[in-house]
Amino acid sequence: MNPDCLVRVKGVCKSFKGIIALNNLEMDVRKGDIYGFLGPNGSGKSTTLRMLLSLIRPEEGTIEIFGEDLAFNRASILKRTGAMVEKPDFYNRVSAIKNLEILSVYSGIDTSSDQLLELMNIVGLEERAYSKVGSFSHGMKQRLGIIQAIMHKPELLLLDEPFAGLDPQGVRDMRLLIKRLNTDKGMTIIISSHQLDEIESIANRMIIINKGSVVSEGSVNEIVAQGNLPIKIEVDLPQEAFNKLKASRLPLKNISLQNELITINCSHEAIPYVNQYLQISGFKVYGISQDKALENYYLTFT
Amino acid sequence: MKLLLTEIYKVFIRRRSYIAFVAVFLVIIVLLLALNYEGEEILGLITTSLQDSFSFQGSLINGNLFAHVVLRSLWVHIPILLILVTGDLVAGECQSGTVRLILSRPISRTVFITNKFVAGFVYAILLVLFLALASLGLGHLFFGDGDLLVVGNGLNIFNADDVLWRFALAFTFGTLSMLTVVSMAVLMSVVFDNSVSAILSSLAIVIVLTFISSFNLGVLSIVQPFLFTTYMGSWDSFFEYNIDFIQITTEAIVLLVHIVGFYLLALFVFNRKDILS
Repeated sequence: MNPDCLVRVKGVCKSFKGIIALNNLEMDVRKGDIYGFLGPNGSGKSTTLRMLLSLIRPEEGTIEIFGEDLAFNRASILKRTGAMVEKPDFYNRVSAIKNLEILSVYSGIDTSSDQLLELMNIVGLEERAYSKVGSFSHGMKQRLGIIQAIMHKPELLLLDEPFAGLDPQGVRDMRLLIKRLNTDKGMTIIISSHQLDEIESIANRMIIINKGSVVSEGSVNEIVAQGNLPIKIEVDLPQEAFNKLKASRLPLKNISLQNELITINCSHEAIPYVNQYLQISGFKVYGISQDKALENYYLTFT
Repeated sequence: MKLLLTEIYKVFIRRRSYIAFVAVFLVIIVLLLALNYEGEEILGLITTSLQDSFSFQGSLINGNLFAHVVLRSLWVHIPILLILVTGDLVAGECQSGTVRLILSRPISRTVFITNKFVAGFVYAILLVLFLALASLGLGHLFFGDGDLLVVGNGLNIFNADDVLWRFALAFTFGTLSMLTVVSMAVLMSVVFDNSVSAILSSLAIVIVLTFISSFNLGVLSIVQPFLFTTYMGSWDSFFEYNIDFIQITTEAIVLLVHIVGFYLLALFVFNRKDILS
């Protein structure tokens, strides 16, 4: 086992009433990773995160976290783990700070009101600390959800759809917060999300699952580079360049010309060669872009 | 201890937890008024033939009679009030999603469920204590002390100074039967993920078992000794001249076995349960 491996999931299977939720799931999360967890609805993302928290037990396979078997060392692992699973649910009749006090009891930690207020300040909730959570918006609950997950200073943080229901400013703040927790506090973070752009922008490694099985796992760059992805090329003479590329022996697919932009499908590695080929052929290349690379890859496999 | 206090605190942050206290208080007030205005008339009908043969100390409409009437009137309904609250203890957390927040922390499921049981017990004890204090307290305040007239299989009359210990034991036994109901409701709360199902199934169990306990038919009488509902009214045994303590102890043991059984079953179910809410 890789000594840097913080979470190792090996051969995990789970079904609900005969429907397979996870089928031989394998994943490794290294210390310091921001690990993206991608998959369509019902692919098994939440089931996996719940299993990492021992909320659901696997039928087969093992889960090791911090080098310990989760089946036998649940309490010691969860002491070092924080989580926000699905939508953040709290006791609506009591204040935000009282909710955190209640949860700190279950975490087995003594946290003063000042410490909790300080934490709430990080996500801009300190002014609403004494308001009932029932009056909170979804975004505010989401931020409170982050606080409850990090208040015991975990080494591993599991976030299930942390961007869901947030406005653009909220998404940006959440992204910055997650990055800060990773870089400043050294937390290893696993994020499941539908927002592919977000995963692409903050995760360094990721897994794509579909129907409970792993489609791909590795660094984001590796995964993006795996497929024949559509790229757009802007040149000075598009029609001539288009004809030249069509006639070339480069490994290109689906070459088309639209609105003076050439679109081709090729591997990540082939992009510099395309650029070089066009320049040697005398064209001025103004730009090569690869829009939503991860999304295209994701849609191909899910 | 902090965990237990937190669970008890959570019971009392819900409005429904106070419904039982309000309901008990309202019924006591209604009975207080009824006994005040109609009591002498009703009692007169019962005791006309006795007035010549016996001399009663004080008025027969007194605090002791009132407390006994309250007990008889409410003892059937207290389980319903308790189920409304305790049937929600675990299912409510599942339904609202807070169980995810709790169980993703290093607390063991066994400790969590044990604290839920104890919190339910504390609630039941407080409600019975409230019933006892309110019925005896208000009864004595409005009607004063006196001999207790109990109409059961026969007519039993107890001296005023022979009553308090009977009430103490009756309330204690009654509490035990209420703890059994609470245990069953918490078990249902563990089995179901939503409060309505847990509460309705608990009520259904109490209704069906009470029905079975009440009918002396051949087959039913075989199972009756094993049902907790058979002993729900046994608190009244303390208002007889010859109290069969062996019988009462046996009944208490049956109730205790039920409590332990419900608790162990709840642990078994919850420790194997996938948290999907």
